[in-house]
Amino acid sequence: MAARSRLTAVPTSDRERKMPTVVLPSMVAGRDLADALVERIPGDLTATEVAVDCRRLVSGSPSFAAQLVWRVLVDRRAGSLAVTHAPAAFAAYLEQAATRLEVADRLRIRAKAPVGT
Amino acid sequence: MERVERRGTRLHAAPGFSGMACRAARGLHVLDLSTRSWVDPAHLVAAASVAHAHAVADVPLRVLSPRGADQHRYAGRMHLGRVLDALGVEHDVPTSVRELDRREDLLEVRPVRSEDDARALAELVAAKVRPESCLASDVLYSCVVEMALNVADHAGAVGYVAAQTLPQVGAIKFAVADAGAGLQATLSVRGATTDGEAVQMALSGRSRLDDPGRGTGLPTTLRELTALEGSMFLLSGTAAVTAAGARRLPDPVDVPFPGTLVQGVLRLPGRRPGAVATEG
Repeated sequence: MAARSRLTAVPTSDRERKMPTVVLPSMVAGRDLADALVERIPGDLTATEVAVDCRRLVSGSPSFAAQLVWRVLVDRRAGSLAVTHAPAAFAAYLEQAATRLEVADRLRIRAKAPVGT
Repeated sequence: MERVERRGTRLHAAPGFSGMACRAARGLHVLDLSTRSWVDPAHLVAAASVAHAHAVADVPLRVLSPRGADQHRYAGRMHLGRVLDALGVEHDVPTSVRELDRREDLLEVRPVRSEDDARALAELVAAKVRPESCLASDVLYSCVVEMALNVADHAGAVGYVAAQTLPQVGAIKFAVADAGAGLQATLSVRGATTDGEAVQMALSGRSRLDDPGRGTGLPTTLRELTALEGSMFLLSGTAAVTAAGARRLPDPVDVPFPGTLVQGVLRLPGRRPGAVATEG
């Protein structure tokens, strides 16, 4: 339940309402938080495109990325996972997890943010 | 300058725990830091974890503070004394610190009891480093939270985290420890029969769980630290390794550690040794 309390972002646009969308907060880590986020998406996701909006994301952990990919693409069998505005490090974690889970062909990462110094 | 170079040389050195054996004396256990001439976050979280295990088992423990004035003050500044007080452990570590002395202490010794604790502490550390370097802040968040989450996921015990800036060498050290199951017990289901095997398996990404997405925490942390000219020290039971990139340097273990301890080091990008005096 504690992880759920961090999930303040909800879909607001028509596009987000049509396409299942996970809006990430500024810091994400841990498998239970990824589970809680994905559990908020109702219904059967088979063959559906799921969007992940990283506009607010500052830092994400490898374990969160791995669980997000696993829950959406393996456990709930979504057709694809479309990630936007991901910081470069988090995008790399997603790609590594998708490769390990053999679902890299269903992960689409758009508009990677540059790495800061 | 000589002091700066000496500190730089030992930046990646294994912390060493000689003298920290928990010995029985006059009916109680004693954890002796008194002869330590050098105190790292690793020593502080190790002491807190051992103290916690004693408190849980209701075994009386006395912790002897470092004898050196700087090291004694540093242990107090990092709140080791307050942690020991909270555990009901007898000690002589100072508990009142001057806030002015704490500007280099990223995170005093703090307990990790849950995934929420792990996230909150990592966020705290990352926020303090962000004005200095976004890249270092991101890496630190990822590394601290992954190591702290491991405690919540696998150790079956309360862990402790601490972090420290080292402005004189342009670096950061953090440490996470727990006196829980230890790597050998955790990875015995994967065939680990010794602490040494378990440490190597953990560094190579083996997990007790079957899920192919598991076991990535330590290898990813090591890779990220290495990318920032850093290193990782991993201690569990009777085995310890200092790792950087593909290099693995086994370290002698004078005192077996009842659980798992990780200390990470990373350089702040663009920062090189300066002339800021510090203690510790």
